[in-house]
Amino acid sequence: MQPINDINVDEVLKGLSAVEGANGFVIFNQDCIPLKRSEKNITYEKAVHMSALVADLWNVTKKCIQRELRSQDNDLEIIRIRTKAQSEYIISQQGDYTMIGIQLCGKAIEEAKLAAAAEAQAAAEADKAKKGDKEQS
Amino acid sequence: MADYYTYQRKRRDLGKPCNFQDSEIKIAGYTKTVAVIPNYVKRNPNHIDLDNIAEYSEHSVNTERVSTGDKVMYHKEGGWPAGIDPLEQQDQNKYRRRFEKDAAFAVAVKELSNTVEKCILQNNQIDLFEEYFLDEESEHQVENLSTKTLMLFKDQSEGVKRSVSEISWHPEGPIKAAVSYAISRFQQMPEGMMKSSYVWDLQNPNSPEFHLESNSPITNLMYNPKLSDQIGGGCYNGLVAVWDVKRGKQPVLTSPVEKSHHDPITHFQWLFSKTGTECVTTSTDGRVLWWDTRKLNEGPIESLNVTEGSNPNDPLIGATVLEYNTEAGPTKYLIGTEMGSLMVANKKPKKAVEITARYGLESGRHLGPVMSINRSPPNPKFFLTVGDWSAKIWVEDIKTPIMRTKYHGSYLTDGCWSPTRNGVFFLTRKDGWMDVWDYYYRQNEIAFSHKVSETALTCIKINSNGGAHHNAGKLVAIGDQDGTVTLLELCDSLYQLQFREKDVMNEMFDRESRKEKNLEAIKKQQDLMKKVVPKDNKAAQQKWEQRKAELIAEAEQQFSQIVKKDEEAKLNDLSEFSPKAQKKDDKKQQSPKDDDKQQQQGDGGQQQDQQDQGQGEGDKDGGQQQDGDDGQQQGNDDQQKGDDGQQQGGDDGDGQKEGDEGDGQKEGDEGDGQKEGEQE
Repeated sequence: MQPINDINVDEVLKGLSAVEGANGFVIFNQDCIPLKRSEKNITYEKAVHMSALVADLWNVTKKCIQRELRSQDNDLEIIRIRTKAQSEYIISQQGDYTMIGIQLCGKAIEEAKLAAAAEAQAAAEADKAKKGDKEQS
Repeated sequence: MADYYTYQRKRRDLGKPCNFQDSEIKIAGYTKTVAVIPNYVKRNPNHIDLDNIAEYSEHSVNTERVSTGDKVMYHKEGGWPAGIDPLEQQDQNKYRRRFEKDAAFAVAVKELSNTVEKCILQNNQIDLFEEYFLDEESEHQVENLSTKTLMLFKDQSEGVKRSVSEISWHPEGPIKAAVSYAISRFQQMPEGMMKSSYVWDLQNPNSPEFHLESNSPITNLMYNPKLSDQIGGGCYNGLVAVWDVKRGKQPVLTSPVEKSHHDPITHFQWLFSKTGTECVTTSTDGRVLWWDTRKLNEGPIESLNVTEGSNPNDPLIGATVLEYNTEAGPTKYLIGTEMGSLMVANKKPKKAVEITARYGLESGRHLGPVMSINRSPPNPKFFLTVGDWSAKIWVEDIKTPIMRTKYHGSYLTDGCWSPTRNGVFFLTRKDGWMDVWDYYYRQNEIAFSHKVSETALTCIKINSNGGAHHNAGKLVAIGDQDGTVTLLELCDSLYQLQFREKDVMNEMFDRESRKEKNLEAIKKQQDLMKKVVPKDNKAAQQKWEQRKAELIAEAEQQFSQIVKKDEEAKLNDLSEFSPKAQKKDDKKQQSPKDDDKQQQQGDGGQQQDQQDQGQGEGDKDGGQQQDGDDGQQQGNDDQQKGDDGQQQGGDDGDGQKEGDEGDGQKEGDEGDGQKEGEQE
């Protein structure tokens, strides 16, 4: 087991974001306060919403599994929600902390890449235009 | 004033149990006084006030209201602990940092990210929810062409079976159809045959809606496109008649017998004139007559004799069918004849009608009478004719057909284009089948055949206007020899315009027109070749060539003899005489002819000049021969050369002239051919 102090949380999360298809994550605690989120594509408000909804879902699901299915030994480990927008929400809990990972699947990865490329191009053009304006002025 | 009783008690005594005590009885009373009695007298009258209304008092009671307070609260921030102000960034950070410093947090994050990563990798393996060919519909479906028989209109006459001679759709839509009945076989019409024709309503196919009575069977009829009440028709006896649906069964107008056609009318056509009253009829008597229904009694307003040649004395040819279309030109009339050829008549105002073009005189003529002519609806330049066993497509500027269908199994009786689809046309056959050609799809095979009746089909008409239930081009009315009109409903793909059909068909027609023009050009060239070849092979020319060759051979022979003798003499003289003088002497001795010439030379310088000229010519033509001569020849005197040259020159000159003439003619012809080719 690694010594605890050696774990760099940010590094770990960066590594997670680098996995193909990964498109954001939120980590929140027992109070549903989002502690970590991928700043790039999840705003704070969205993170709050997500953690509220997911916490509820998690608790209810857990209760259901344990109480309604009458199996005390079973425990909820992971919830994976596949959406129509070709993305998947992966929810898992470890101790007091819960993580929501968002993943793009299938064609959505390609589409996202194309969109990113187009955006980059647009940005580059906008930069050029700005420069041109400056030169003119 | 009420006397208030005041209850007083010490505070401490309040609430003490009550001690009730008996009190002493006190007696109250009054003392009798006698002195008052005398004053006690009843008054009269006595006044008393009585009140029967209860006394009211007002009192208001309200239930107590719960007091309300307004407060506004937002829950956007998420569930922060009580001690932290979610709006304070500092508090938040402090709170977060506390967790981030927590060792358990780092471990949890590590674990969680491992878990999530595992899931992501799992998902990335394969797109499990992908559906192949999602939302893709099958683009091409095999569609079988079909027709549905909607209804049958049966002839009402009993006993004799009259054939349907013509059908005309109501101009406003497929609601009604006028049908004429006649027997067109010569002298097969029995006495007392029913002569009326009918107007059928599609709503009620059991019995005709209207009867058109006539003295003679109606051979051809047509709804007036402008006045849909009017139906015009031509009769077997050659009369033209007009019926009005509103005015009863008998014709409202009839043409005079003596001025009408002498034979059965083969086609009746309303013209798109302003008044809507003009019509044209054709007949087998070889005349095309133009009428004005307002002046029907006065006879035709125009008349045209149909002949195949431009000579007015040519025999008349029966006209079997007429095509008139305003889009093609309001003055143009396409006439089909019994001989299988086609004519274009041009009727210009204030001028006599004349035939401007004749189609199919050389090749492409139908083997039987033309049964039907139809101009292609979108492009009236192209028209379809039906005759004998095949249908042909023509273009106006070419005298031969550009396309021809294969020969059908039996005689074709009628045909028409689909009014909606450019590439489709329908043909009816004498064996009861209807054939559909779809040139958009394929040109070598019939697209669809349908057996309509057991007997021969006589005519076909397609509705060109759409109505409430039926689109244009959807309903086909086919008449047969037994007098039954069959109404067919075509399947969608047969009447709905296909993808790019217009362009494809126009391209095809243009291509075929070009092909036909090229073929014509090739044919002309071939004719030219036939003319040129016999000219070249003229026996006389051959003879002449032969003689020329003989003459040259003769001259050569003579010359070689001279040379031989010369050489011999030279060999002999080498030892004894000087070569020059000897040569000259030898020459003089050897050829007496030359001597004469020399004398002549001596006589006049003019001749010498002529000889020189001759030599010049001879040099040109006989150059090769002379170059081939021995070096000794060069040593010969000029006379010799000149002589030979003159002779040869003369010969060659003539030959050249002859050759030049021949060549010139040939070139001229070719030039003409080229010019003609270019003009076309």
